[in-house]
Formats: sequence, structure tokens, C-alpha cells
Amino acid sequence: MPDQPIPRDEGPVRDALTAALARARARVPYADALYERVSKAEVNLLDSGQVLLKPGSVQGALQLRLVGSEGRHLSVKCGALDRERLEALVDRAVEMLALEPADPSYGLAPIPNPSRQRYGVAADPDPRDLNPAEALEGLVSGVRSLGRRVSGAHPSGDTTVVPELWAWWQVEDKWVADTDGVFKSQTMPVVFLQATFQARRGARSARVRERLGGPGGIASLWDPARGLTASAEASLTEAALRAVGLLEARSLGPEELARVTHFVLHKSALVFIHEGLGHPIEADIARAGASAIVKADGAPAVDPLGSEVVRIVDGPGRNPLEGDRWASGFGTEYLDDEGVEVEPTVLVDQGRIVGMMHSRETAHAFGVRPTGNGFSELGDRRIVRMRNTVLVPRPGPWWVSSLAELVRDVPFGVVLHGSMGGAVARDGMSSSTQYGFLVRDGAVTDELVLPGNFSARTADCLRTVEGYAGEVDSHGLGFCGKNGQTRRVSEGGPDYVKLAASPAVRLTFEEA
Amino acid sequence: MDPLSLAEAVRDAVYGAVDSVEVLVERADQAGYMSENGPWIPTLEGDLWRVALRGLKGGRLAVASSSVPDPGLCAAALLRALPCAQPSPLGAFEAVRPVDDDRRGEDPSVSALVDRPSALRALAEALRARTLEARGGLAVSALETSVGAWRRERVVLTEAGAARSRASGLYAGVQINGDWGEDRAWTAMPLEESVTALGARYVASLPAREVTPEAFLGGAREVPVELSPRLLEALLRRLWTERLGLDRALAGHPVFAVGERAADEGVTLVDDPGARGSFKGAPTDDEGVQTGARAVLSEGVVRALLSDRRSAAEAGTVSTGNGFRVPFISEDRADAPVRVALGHLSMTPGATPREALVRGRALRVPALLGLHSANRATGAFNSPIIGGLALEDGRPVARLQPGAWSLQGNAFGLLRGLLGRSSEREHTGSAELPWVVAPLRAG
Repeated sequence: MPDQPIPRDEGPVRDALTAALARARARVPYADALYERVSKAEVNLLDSGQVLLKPGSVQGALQLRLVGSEGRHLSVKCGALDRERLEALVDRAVEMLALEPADPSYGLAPIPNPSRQRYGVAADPDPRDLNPAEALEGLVSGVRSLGRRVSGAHPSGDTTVVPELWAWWQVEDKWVADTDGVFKSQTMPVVFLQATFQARRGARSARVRERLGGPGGIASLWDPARGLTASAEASLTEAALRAVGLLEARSLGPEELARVTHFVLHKSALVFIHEGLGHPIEADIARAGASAIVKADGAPAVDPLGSEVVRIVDGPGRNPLEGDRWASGFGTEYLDDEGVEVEPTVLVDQGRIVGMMHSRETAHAFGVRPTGNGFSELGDRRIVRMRNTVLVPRPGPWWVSSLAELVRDVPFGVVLHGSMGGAVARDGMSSSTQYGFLVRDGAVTDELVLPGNFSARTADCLRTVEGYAGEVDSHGLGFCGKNGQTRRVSEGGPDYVKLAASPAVRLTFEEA
Repeated sequence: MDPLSLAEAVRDAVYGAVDSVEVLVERADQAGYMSENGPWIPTLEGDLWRVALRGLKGGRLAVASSSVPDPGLCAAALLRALPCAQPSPLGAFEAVRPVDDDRRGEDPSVSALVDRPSALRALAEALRARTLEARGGLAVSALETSVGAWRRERVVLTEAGAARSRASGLYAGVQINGDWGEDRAWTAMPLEESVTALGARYVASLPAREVTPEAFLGGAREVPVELSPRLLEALLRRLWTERLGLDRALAGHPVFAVGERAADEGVTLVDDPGARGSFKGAPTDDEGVQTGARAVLSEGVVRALLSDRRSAAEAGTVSTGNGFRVPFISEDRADAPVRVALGHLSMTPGATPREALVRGRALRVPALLGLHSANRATGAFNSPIIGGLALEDGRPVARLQPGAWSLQGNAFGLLRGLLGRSSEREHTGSAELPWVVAPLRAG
């Protein structure tokens, strides 16, 4: 970690946490508190052409957890740091806690390394210290001009590309403290850009969305000398061109779908790893009996879950197998919202479930160490959340260097790219795909396939994973919803993942 | 500090620095209980603030937001946004007609539940116990239960005046084995029985057997599908807004033309952002424009496009009072741009009782997975079915096997060629809609 920043304006937050915990400590054996603050500079370019530029919004909320005698517990969320209000809320919470029966099974695993206080990365530059308008307006200009360029370049002359943009540059500060004297903080600068390009020609329209960003500053997206950075411009140009291409794309008919032997998922289409395999290995979901693949006691309900080449890791940081191959990702944190240092967690290895993601609460319930997966959205109750959930295969002949090699034995398949979002239920998941390319006789063609829906049955969709191509990274940026909370996450893997067609995975296309 | 005082203090703090100012403040409290197949998890939320600010200066619009109820901090955020202000067609913000304390969205007895956690707990206990008692032959491996109440105070203020209103709500729900669930939300205090019997009625209605598309339909094919009022509402809000918004038309998107037939004769759809007893009812929209009922479809024909102040100004008309801060993805409500959005919806019922809506083999679909990724441009949806039932002559005979079924269709054409509309309507909390039957591809 490069430095250990102290969040700015810490005094009032420390005072509020101290007051709340002191009030709680007088009434319950244990309490811990989390205060999260997000300082954000943001821009919207709507498809109407309207630009909204917000250089300085601030959000903050406190989460207080009271643990009474014999495992009674309660979560409190408060939007104000005012001492009197906080103390009044603690008193209300203690009254509510008194209604609870004993819950001897409840407990919180200890916070490892309790004495270390500071985590994260200093924001340099810090958007709070400068006028971010130049950078944010630069992103708007860049995306607009890219849309114009792609529109003008199309030979049809009647194709327009309308861009939408949502981008922000924020500094996330959080403090975790408890009645045992723990006091920790983390500062994380994060940037995000989402551009959607809608191509229109006559009555036809098509859209492609691209997301960029991650921990760090605006420099990954915007360069004062050239506008959009070269890598951002390349990604966004490809998305805009793809939207135009989709105006002439086609879907696959039932007969063709029946002939598909393989689905090859580009790393931008790996949201199914997050939805279908990540969520069911969250320990709170398993414990509630809501996982199709892990029993309530933590034992695998399906074994093996996938083919021998499947290995899934959640976390930022070093790949425990092979060094630092993917040290970043949109979901990166150094400290979770319970004060636990984030550890990479191997969830699936050689096709078998070998670990789960834990909060302090679930770690206590299962008698293991917390993994740093306890997160909250601005004052909400802390629950088990994913961070960067990535397919990290063991090296072997199944992992080749190029897409061409990977599809060499595929008679008829489709390479799927991108997603507009996914969702999960107990037994299955669904994610949209943005486009695809057909594979015929061992080679990828330029036949472009329309957006579809890729759905998978959780319990057996990984059994037909045959191989991979390309380097691993945590490519997909997402906002995961769970229990009404939203959290930035990512999913990733090698550039391409190859699955044989099976009844456990389906691709369908929307009606025209 | 109360929301009105905060809004006034922010207005006063930016006085002179802007030509016109708009402050939207919300403060909310909530209490509830949930169980994830285990002990109760009590939660208490207090003093949750949202402040959304807009200022006009020299024909340019500045925007800011905060969740910290500090007038100085809020004002500073808006003043900091002034150098970044963007051109706007709005000459000034709405001359808000003062409303002192509108309580159309509040039921005092629901609101009081936030301070009576013991009553909420008793409801939650009874809901869970009755659900388990009623399970019959259904193997319940996991039962999630939730009951909670919330109350909210809201102020929309401009230099002309302020509209202050309150709202409250009660919610309850059960989820069985992760795939099957029922939940409800009420604006008015329901009978205790309505809450505590929610899960028992649902469990008792579930057939024991599960079917695949192959077993029930012989594979994927078009079939009559009974859509629940809540799924219909989700399709209307998610997709129909794209065809009914004046802002969409101005952005060059295809929208319904006024006078165009968009639904079967007999289908009348009224949008009312001012509806009493609705989560979508308030005296003004988020821009302070007075709300009212408006038929968007009359006898199946489009009668009006809906607008916010910006789109109305660009089109040279007046806003219909449909400007709301509707967040997309992870946007906070206070951060979200004002967008044209539907208010409370009501649709005329049909003449057929729900039980008689379909004959032969059909499906009942209460929800779709991942509807948020449906195609807003084309209206197409293509999603796995959640909690669906197989029907024979309108009677549930099997559950649709989780993960095995999906539904494809197009929301824009959904209301043309309906096979039926029920004579009963459900109040979802934000709409009163019938069950509708449409021919859709399932499998």
C-alpha cells in the first residue's frame, strides 16, 4: 500500500463516533460504529443533450451495531452526526434491543490486526481541492466528439450515434470504531465512466454500453493535453462502432441455437460469475438456506460444482496462486466496513467449493476468520458482499493465449460480449449480452449477433467450462444490489472463457 | 432542524448569488424486522436526509446534493457548482404554490408504527408463524420474512414558496426457499389479518409439483400468460415511460403519438402523481409543479405525453408535473437528474373474474428476473420467470421450475391484443391495475 492517508475533517467524525460508542457502552457490552462519507464530482450527459455537472456533492451516514447480553443485537442507521440526535437514537435503539430474546448463537469474530489504524490511498489530486469542471467537461466533449466522428464516418450517411455519459470522480472515506478501542479509517479515490452509444438509422436503433474506471484518479480517463485518454478513447470508440454494427446484426433462430456447441464469454460478459456463482457462496446467503450450491452448514451442496479447470477468487490483492496478476478492480478495498483487512478468498478450486465470503457475523457462526467481505451502503446494515470476483485458472493446457486457439475445435458457437446487467435467484441467474460473433468451423466470423439473454442454472452451469484464453483481469464494473443496498464490484477472468453448450446454460433473443 | 427550516436556511444562504433557487429536502425514519431463516434482525433508521439543490444564474443551471443536514455545507455545495453551471431553458424555478402540511400520503397509525417496534415485531412473528403453519406438504427449507414501517417528510422550496408533505408506509413479505415469495406494501393501515396471513395464503396457493417447459408445453412456445399487476406496473414504469415522455421525444426517440392506438379499446390508463393513498402521490412533483390526474390512454388511444419543466419549456408548453428525480443504477435520488416519470397509475378493470381469465394451459407470472436490463429503446424483454405457476383452466397445477423458464415479449405492444383483463384490481402501493393476459413466448 503506497501510503496511509488520514481522512480529512476527521475531528467531527471521531467526536461523533466517540459519543455514540460511549452512550452505547454504558448500556450494552459491545458496540461498533461505521461512518461513511462520499465526496463526489459528477457529470451527466443525457441523450437529450442536457449536461448536468455536480462538482461537489457530499453524502454520509453512520451505522451503529449494538450487541447486548446473550447475543441480542440491533443495527442502527443515522444520517446526522449531531451528538444529541445520535445519543437519542442510541437510547431508542436500546429500548428496541430490550424486546429481543437471547440469541446465544450470535457473535462477531474478532477484528484481526486491531491496532493498525490507517488504510487506503491518498487522493492526489483531490477533487475537493480543485475545480473538476475542466476534467468532467472534457469527458463530455470527448464522448460527444467521438459520437459525431462515428456518425460521420458511416457510409450510409443517415446513421446517427447519440451518446449518453455518466461519470464521477469521488473520494470515499470511512471510519470504523468499536467499544474495545478499535479505530480504523480508509480513504479511497475512485473514478467511473459509463457511456452508452445509441445508433439510429431510420426506424432501427441499437445501443452499446461501456464502463471504465476503478480505484485512483481521473488521470485514467482524462488527460489535460488530449482529452479522453488513449485507452478510454479506444474502448469507447469500439463501443460506438459496435452500436452502429448492431443496426445490421441478427439473432439466432431456434434451429441455429440448437446447433450451438459452445458459448465463449468475453471477459466483459462474465457477470454470470458474480451473479450465479458469487452470491451463492456468500456465507449469509448460504446460512439462510438460500444458496443452491452451499448448504446452511457451509458444506457444498453440489460437489463438484464445475469442471476441474474452474477456480474462482474474490478479493483485490495478490493472486494467492501466482503472484500479483490482478491487483486492481472496481470493487477494490483494503479494509471492509467492519474493520477487517481485505483478504483474497479462494471460493472454488479445481471445480470444488473450498471457501466462502464472510463478515464478522458469519465468520463467528461458521467458526472461521472473517475475510473482509462485510460491507454496508452508507449506513445500512453490514452484510456479506463481493469485491472483485474473478476466474483465476490454474495454468495448464486448457489455458491458451489467443481466442483463435480457444475456438479451433468449435464447430458452431457464439462469442458473447458485454452485459447491461444481471440478476440472480436461488437456482439460476440471468444476464443480458450486448452483442456476439458467430464461430463457424473453428474460426470467429464477423457475423454480428444481436443482444440476448444468457441464463444459467447455478448448480451445474460450470460443469462444461473447457478452457480459457488470454490474461486475467477484473474487467467488469458493476453495481451489485443486495438487500436494497448497492455496492461497487467487479467481475473478471481471462479474456475468454469457453463453455460447452448444455441444458444448464441458455441463450435467448429478445423479440424485434 | 426540520426539513422546511433546512430548506429555508439554504435558500437564504445562497440569496443574491443565484437568480433562482430550488431546494428539495427529505427526511426519513424507519424501523423493521427481518429474518433470514433464523433469528430476527431488528433495524432502526433515523434522521436520514436527502438534499437536492438547483440554482439558476444568468440562464445557466447549477446542481448539487448532500445527505448532510447542514445548511452551510449544502449552500456551499451549490455555490461551488455555479462556475460549472450549464445552459438551461429554464428561466426560473417553479412558482411553488405554498402547501403547509399535506398528508395525503400519510396514515398516522402507520407513521406511529416507526416508534412502536413491539407492534412491528408482533406482526413479523405472526407472519412467520402462520406461514410455517400453512406450508402443508411444501418442503420449506428456507423462510425469509420482513415487516417494517417508514415515514418521510418532504419539502420542495423555491423563492416563491414551499410545499411540505408527509408520507408513510408499511411493508411485509415472505420468501420461501429463495425462489418463491410474496410481498405487499400499504399506505394505509391494513387489517392485521392482511399482514399476518400474507405468507399463509401464498404458501397454501402453491402447488407441490414443479414443471419444466418441456413437460408442460412441450418446449418453448407462445402461450397465454397472466401478468400480475406488479409485473405490469414494472413494465409500464420501466419501458412505457420511454414512449410517453416528452423529454424522450425531444431527444429524438420514437414515442407514442397523441391519438395513436397503443392498447386495446377499453384500456384507459390514468397517471396521477397527486393520488391520495399512494406512494407515488404528493402535492407537487420534485420541481414543485402541482400534480394532478391525467389520462395517458383513453379507450386504448394515447391522449397525452408527460413532461417535466425542462422538456415543457423546450416544447413551449407547461409541465404536466411529472418531473421526478428517478435514480438509475447506483445513483442516489438526490443526485439523480430530474427525469420524466410516471406517478400513481390506474387502469380500468376488465369484466372477467381473474379465475376465468384463461382456459386451457397458461402461465401465471408474478415477476421477471433482471427486468432492469430490458431494452428501453425497443421495449423488448427477455427474462427468466420468478415464482411462476402453470395453470389449467385458470387453476394453478404446478410451479414453474426455477431456472428453467423465461418469458419473451415486447412491452410496447403488450396492451394491444390482450386476451383478457381481470375485473379485480390490486393496489400495489403505487398503482391500481388488473391482471392482464397476453400471448407471450415462454419456455
